[in-house]
Amino acid sequence: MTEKVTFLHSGDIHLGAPMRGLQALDDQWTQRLQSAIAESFDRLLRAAITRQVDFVVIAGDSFDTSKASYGDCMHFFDGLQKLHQANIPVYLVAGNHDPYTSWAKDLDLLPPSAHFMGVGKPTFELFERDEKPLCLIGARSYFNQTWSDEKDIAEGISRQAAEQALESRALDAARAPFSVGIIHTGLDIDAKKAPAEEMDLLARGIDYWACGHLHKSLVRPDAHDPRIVFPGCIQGRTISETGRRGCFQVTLEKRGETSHASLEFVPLASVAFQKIKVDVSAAQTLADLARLVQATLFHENGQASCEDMVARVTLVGASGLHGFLSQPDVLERVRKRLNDAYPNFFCDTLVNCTQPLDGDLDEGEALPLDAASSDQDLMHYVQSELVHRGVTVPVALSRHVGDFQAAADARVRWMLKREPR
Amino acid sequence: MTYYLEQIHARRFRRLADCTLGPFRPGMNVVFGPSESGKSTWASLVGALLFGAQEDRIAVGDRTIAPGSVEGSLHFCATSAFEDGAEKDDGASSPPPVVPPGLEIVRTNGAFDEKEARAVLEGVDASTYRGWFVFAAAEAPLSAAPVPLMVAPSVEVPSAALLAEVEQQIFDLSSPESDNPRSVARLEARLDQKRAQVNQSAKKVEKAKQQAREIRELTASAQEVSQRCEELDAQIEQGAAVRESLQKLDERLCILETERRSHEEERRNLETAPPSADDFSPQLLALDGMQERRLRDRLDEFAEAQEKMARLVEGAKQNEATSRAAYEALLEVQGQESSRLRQWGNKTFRTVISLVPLLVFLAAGIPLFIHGRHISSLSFTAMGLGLIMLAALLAAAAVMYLLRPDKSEELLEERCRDAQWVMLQDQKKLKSNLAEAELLDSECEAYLDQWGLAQAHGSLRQAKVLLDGAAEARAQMMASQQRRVALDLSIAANCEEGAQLRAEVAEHAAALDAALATDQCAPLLEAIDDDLRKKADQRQALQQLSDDLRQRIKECSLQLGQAAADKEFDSLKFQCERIRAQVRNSKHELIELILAKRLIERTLAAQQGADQPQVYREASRILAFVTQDQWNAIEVSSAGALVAKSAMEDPTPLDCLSSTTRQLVFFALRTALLLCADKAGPSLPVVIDDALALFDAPRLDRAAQVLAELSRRRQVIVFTSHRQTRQALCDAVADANCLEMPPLNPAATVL
Repeated sequence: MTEKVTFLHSGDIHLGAPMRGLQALDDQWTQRLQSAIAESFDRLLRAAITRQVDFVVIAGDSFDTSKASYGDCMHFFDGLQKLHQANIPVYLVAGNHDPYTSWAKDLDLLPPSAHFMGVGKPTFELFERDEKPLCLIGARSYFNQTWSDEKDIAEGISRQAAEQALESRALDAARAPFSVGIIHTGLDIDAKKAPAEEMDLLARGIDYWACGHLHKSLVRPDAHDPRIVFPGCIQGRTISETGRRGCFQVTLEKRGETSHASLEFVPLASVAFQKIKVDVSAAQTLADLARLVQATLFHENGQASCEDMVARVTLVGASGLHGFLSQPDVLERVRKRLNDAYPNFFCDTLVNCTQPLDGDLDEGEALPLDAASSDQDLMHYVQSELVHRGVTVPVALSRHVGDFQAAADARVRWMLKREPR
Repeated sequence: MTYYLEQIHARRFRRLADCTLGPFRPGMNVVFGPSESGKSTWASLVGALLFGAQEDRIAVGDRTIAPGSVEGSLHFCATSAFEDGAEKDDGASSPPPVVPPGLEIVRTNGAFDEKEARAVLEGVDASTYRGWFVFAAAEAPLSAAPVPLMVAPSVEVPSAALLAEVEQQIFDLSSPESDNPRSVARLEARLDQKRAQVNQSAKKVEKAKQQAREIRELTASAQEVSQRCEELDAQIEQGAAVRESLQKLDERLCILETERRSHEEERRNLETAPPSADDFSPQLLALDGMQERRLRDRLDEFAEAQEKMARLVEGAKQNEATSRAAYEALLEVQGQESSRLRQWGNKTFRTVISLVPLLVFLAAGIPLFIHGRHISSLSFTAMGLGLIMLAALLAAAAVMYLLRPDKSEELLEERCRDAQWVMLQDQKKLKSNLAEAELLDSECEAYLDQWGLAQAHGSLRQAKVLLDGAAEARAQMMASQQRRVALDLSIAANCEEGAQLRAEVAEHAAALDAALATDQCAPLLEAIDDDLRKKADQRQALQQLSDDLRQRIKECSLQLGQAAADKEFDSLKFQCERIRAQVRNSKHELIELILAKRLIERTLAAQQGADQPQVYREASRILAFVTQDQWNAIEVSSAGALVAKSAMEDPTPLDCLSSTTRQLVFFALRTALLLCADKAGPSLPVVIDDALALFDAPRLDRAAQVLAELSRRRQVIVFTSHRQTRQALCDAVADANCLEMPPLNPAATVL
């Protein structure tokens, strides 16, 4: 019989996170979103119990901040208690959002089967089935919210180190066929949050690196084992974290001398976020426009694995409604109409990026665009203007200055094109 | 379509009331009037009718006037004069072409026809109009900064108005004074407020967590206290049990003491007052059971023998009585038939004879025998016995003698004898029996005496009574003896038990307190009571502590339940994030607007950049012409300030120029601007309100020539109170339209 072990690999639960980037939530949707992450966590627990996995890995950032609400804390610890009652051990590490310092006072709330891993130095645990060693687990947590640039978060986590560390507890630990490493790392994508070298990790003799921190799922290398896997967050917490969210059900099995990991995505999100562009060039009236948006929302909802969806909708295309939509409050009325139409969808922002039908303004001819200015010039100019007006400079300025410039250009064109006052 | 101002009608404006100025013509128009004739008022009226009255007090020359309501109309006529104006150098004499009817811009308090105005203004706004088209005498309308040399706005090119609109939007989105709820400053203020609330709520959350930890600690403490309570309960229970045990021991010891004393008393009593045995001989008291049984058997035998003897004596007596009766009956019969007396005498004789020796022997033998027996002398006894036997033999012989019958009498006699014999026989037998009985009694008595039953005096019954009494006395003695033994044993056991109990007490004492070495219950009980009281006090204190702890746990749990259900913290965080998103959105829009502003400014600057060199060249030309090359150039310095250049001196900033020269520079700039920017407001008149008054005559002539050039491109209306100015202008422009100021008061004056 082939040896195998099955576990749920999750991370970045971010319990208690307020949904960011939403500016028009009503009370009902505020309440809905307040409970969304907790519901997703409950789905994770249900998935672990119904799928009868061997154990659950939570790769950091269980809480959004070190100051989680009491209700969220109790919800989390009660959840681990349920897993304990179902005989499912949990191996969890602390991430940059919920470092060890925020756990220290509450570790006694963890049930016996929940293992808080790796404070200061790597921690190793042995998962046994029928009193036979099955999986070596090595992990390390964030101590406080910052990981020093001079340290490697995966340092000391290797199969060999795990065997040596566990030898004193179980003489036959080295016979465990599988090994899993758990770290909260930015890999080579976020260099500020405990980065790690992919090739270095793959050479540690670990069969599966269960990582956290990246909110979008990522598997490296894609084709062969061992793998470094990020499941992403279980519930989007900003309007930018769109699409399906969840965890991976990982099955490690022996194929000859090597271990193979099979990944199955388990959708857990309770509310999906979407950024949608809707071409409304075919719309003659606002009712047509609303229907088009509604149809697109339903189409997008088909891709998600949950009923409720919050969307940011950008209207594009050349439309006779362009001028009308540019008037104050028209977009807001359309947004309200959309939100009143179907209770499971919420349109937070409706952006008018339509073009006028007769707006064939010859770019560059009538309006000598400021093409000569570099992004840096623009940034300096905007920054000085903002500072002069006592406004702090947003981060988006440096990233999207080109977009702002294009939007400004469109705005000026529209102002020139509208009827003279 | 290009228009020119044909006529101004003032319905009501400042000092003007229902009066008209005109008609004007394309080209140069000179309105002459004395000071205080309302020239500046008419000059202001054009702008006021086009753009409305200025809200602030308006500077007119060296005085200011308050704004008022504007009512009136401007009548414009279409013209093609300026389209080829450049070519019409000498067309002064030609009459104005026939043009279609013009348009009327009417402004009343309640209405203004913007559409008509737009046709004339063509995008020129109030500031542009007042900056470019109005030349005032003592006015310094331009700062030292570069003149905003704009080309005329059009639908395709941003205007200053557009710039102002964008700037207004920027102001709305950024300024704390803005009323816009989307203003970054207002939103950030709200955000700060929410953040403060979040921090406040976070403190509550932290407090709740602290309470949760406190509950855990309190629960542990409560369990510990409960455990301690249980231990104390057990100790108290144990102490109570020990106390009870000790109390029982104490009671038992008391009982033992009492018993011991009672036993000792009893024993002393027994020793001092033994049961009475004086009534009984020591022999009787010393009888053992076997002896008593034998004695009783013997007494029974005696009794049986006496009874038997008594029966024999009784029988013998009966027999003797019977035989005597029979004999006496025979004797009686004999006496009756013969001589009974004789016979009786004979017989009596014989009887006496027979009986005397018998009696003698008997009288001698029996006492001898008894005496022998009494003294235990065999010889006397044997002698007595021999005498008795002899007496018996004599008796027998006497009987036989007596009983010797005669024939008839004999027979009777014989029968008498027989009867007598029988009688005697019976008497003897009786005697014998009596003797035996007496012997038996003696023997019995002797026996009784032998066994200490002398008090019975030979009475077997008495002897038995004595025996019973003795037995009873013996039993009592035995019982007394046994009781003593029992009491001794009991006292010993009592002492032993007492010792054991005291040992137990000592053990308890040692167990209770090693220092408390005692075998007395009382101090121990006192110590235990003391200990129990202390423990009960401790128990009560612990119970109180436990109750307090549980009360605190209950309170904390209640608060925690509320904290767990409290969504305020999350809700506030959401609100914060919502405001943050709104701030972000507003900032992004602000950036967009700032970039739009920059775009408009740079577009305008680019446009100006194309025109400015020409404008400055033209201005330099005009300045050189008017000053006769005294000042020959106007430029923008590297520092961005306007400077005037002369042939002799270094570039001079405008601030350092004389007021006349500065006025000349502005005149040259404006004129150059209007000459170059021919697209800007071609239908609007250039209104000059005595701006040439400071110029000396040569400069005035040359300035008039410059205005003449301008009048070929635009309509120029010069208000002046100086005749030389009018003259100079009329000299420069041959067909100049000269008008006189209308009187102020007439209801309607048409000049």
